[in-house]
Amino acid sequence: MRILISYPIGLIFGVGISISGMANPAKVLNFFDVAGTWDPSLGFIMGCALIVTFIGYRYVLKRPAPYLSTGLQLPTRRDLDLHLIGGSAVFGVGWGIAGFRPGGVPPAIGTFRTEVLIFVAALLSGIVAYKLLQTAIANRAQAHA
Amino acid sequence: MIETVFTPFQSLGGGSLIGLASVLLMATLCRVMGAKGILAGLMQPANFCDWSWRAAVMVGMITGPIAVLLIAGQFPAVQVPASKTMPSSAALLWASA
Repeated sequence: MRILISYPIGLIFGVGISISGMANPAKVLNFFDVAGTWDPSLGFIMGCALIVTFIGYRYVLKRPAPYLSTGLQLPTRRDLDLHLIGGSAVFGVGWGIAGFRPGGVPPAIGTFRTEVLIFVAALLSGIVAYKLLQTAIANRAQAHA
Repeated sequence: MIETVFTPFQSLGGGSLIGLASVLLMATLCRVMGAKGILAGLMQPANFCDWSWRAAVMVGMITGPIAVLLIAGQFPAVQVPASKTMPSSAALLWASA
């Protein structure tokens, strides 16, 4: 049941990314190139996605429970720590260099471009490396305690 | 830089679909639509049930441009201004970290 629901959700997302132009790094980077080959499309995508999500979430979160799940999986932390700020900064630098971001990449995989596959390999290595580092730090902290 | 065409209507339509997908995911599974989080959970799943919905969302995302190809007759444009060495050197750096 969950798969039947989550596949079309992913598909809607993928089609949205594809139509909007967000899977195209050149278009993403041109949003920031105000003095050069400026393309304001990204602002329209983000603005529209934000408005729809803002209104939709307000309605959805008023419900006592989600349709197909019992537990709430919402982020509960409200404070800004070094991890969040540092992570956002690194994310921004990566996005600015390559024009790719995790959200835009899965739909781009469907176009079978080499650069996209290289980026995905890098992304997965990065996720694994971070997990290993996190485990190593946790183990060391435990050994010292 | 590679010049791209300003597409206000496609971007508004696509943006609405992105927003709609995240609202639907929150309404049904109560999850935040974040590709990196979904991907990270896919590599280290809590259990099969947790893995299967993530995999289904990912497959949906990947087949998005194929759906566009079937409807519009062409793949969405993917133009990469950065050189091929840029993402691959990042890959090596990350892999060796």
